[in-house]
Amino acid sequence: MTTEEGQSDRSDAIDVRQRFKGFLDAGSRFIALVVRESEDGMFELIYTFDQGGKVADFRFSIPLDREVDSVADIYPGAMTAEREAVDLFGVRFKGVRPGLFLVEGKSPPEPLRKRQIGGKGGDVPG
Amino acid sequence: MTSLARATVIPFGPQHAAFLEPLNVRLVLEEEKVVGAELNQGYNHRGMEYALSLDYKKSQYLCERVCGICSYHHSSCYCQGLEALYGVEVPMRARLIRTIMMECQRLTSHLLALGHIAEAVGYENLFMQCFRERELIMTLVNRLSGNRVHYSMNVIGGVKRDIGPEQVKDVEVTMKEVRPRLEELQRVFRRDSTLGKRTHGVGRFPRPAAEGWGTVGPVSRASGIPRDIRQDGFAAYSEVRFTPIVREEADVYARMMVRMDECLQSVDIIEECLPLLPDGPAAVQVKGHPTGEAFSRVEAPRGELMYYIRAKGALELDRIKLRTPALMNVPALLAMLPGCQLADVPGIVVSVDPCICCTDR
Amino acid sequence: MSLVQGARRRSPWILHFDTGSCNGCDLEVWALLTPRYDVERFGAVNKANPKHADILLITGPVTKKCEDRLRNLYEQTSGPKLVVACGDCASTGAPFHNCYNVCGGVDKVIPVDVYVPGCAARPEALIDGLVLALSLWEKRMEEEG
Repeated sequence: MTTEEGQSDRSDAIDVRQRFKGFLDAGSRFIALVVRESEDGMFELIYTFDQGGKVADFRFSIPLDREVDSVADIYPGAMTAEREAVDLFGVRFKGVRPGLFLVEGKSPPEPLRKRQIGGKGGDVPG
Repeated sequence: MTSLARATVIPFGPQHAAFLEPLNVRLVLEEEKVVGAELNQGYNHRGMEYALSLDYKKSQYLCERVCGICSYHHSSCYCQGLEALYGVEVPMRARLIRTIMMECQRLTSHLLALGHIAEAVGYENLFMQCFRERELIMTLVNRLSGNRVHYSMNVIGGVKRDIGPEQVKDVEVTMKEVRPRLEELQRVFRRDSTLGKRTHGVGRFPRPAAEGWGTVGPVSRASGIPRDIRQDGFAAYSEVRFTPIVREEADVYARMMVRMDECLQSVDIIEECLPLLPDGPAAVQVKGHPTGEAFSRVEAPRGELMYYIRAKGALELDRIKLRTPALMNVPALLAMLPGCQLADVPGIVVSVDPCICCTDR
Repeated sequence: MSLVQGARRRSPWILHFDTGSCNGCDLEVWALLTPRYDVERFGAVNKANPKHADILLITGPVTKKCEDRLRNLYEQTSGPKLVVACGDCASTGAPFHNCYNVCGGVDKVIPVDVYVPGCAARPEALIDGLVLALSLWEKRMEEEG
């Protein structure tokens, strides 16, 4: 099987750095940070890890304007993932600058947000 | 401390002879030595995650257009994810065909990367040779799928283009023809002294750094990390013998040789798959719209490729997220470049096989 | 025909630039430069320097970040110059039509002389496009005198 339902931890207020470090110390490898906007208008952040061939993750939801701690200093590989989330969703990470993919003034801001210009709620081409 | 040398800044790219694609590296130099590097990417950002989420049925073709070098891996990964959401078991025949085509594509991708490295260190002849052998595989996949780049063979539930008995023979004959040529290339890559001087000990990326930057694929296997998703047996990899190729030198030479050895391993895997092809259907039907979420992973030529798919029972997908291998490998350049000579920069950059269309999507 | 023109006719140097392509057409452009398709028999050599180039091979839809770079490259190329849009994306922007970070085809940014269809454009089609570009180029040289 390739699609694994590993352990999953759902909680709201959560110390990202500590959880992240916990996964790394347990020998897991960080794969990706998935951000999505949930139906009730929150950001859901899913940190996925490879745990001995299975995908495990921890996830939490935050209000749109909440700032999240960056883990880039304990794990440099997470930097691009965070910058991507800043660009595409406008999630605020402490000390992470935007401008990875998008050009200011030309590209639509936060394009993957719902109800944005170019976003899913907008003008969907048939 | 004062130094006579003043730091110079050199922009490298986005349009550069060594790059197939637009990537900008801002190099800070002291005389000939690189002391700092900064990456500027996004030249290829088209918004694939948005486009792929519009219609999951059309996306099985669109996801090939994320990247032309590993197009079949993208579509296999996408279909695998949706098959998991539908809960269907893909027929063995389809899984073997996917495995064969994925290995063919790995051959074309690795030969491209090897030729690219040869060109970046100034070995034009070897570059041409790599591309000559690569054309054998390109024409083979053209005969199998009808296309050279985007195979369009996958559907959700299997493959829509079967491989007939005479095509199986064709693959066999081509592999027989390719193997001695690859062995000859391997001999050159391994033993050539000029190439060795430009690659041995250049762009060191030791194991702790590779773990910290989360690199995947040949880049991490060249740093001594035995990590390969093919071990977990997606598609039909559980049916074949497979041990990842690992090297310890952690330099450009190791990254080059891992790819070279993997080419021959791919030929082995294809030859092992061919007699296993069972009779029967090559696809199963799926009904209705999918719901739920799935993580799907395959080993693309550059490393682990992951799709996160969250469907909501409509044509539109709630969220699709692509974690491409190059997204992890390209930033690792920031760790490899400082301390190297300016002349080695193209070789080091190319040795991670930067696929910008994958990185930026 | 002047000496310069005669020399030029035999050596149309090309510049390849990827403006956001999926790499499929880039691979085929590179296949052109290598033994099987070998466009060097027409005198075409890949030169990364726009000042040396005569024919621009552009692949991919133009992303918003590449737009200015493409315009720069075009302006730096000395005339008479020709632009070949390689593949469907470069010709029309499809299949990335309506993607939020894409301007559309190459002709939205710079004038295009030859359109080569195909996703990815096949090397044979690219050679055809290149040869067509060469004949246009010679005509343009004569016009300029």
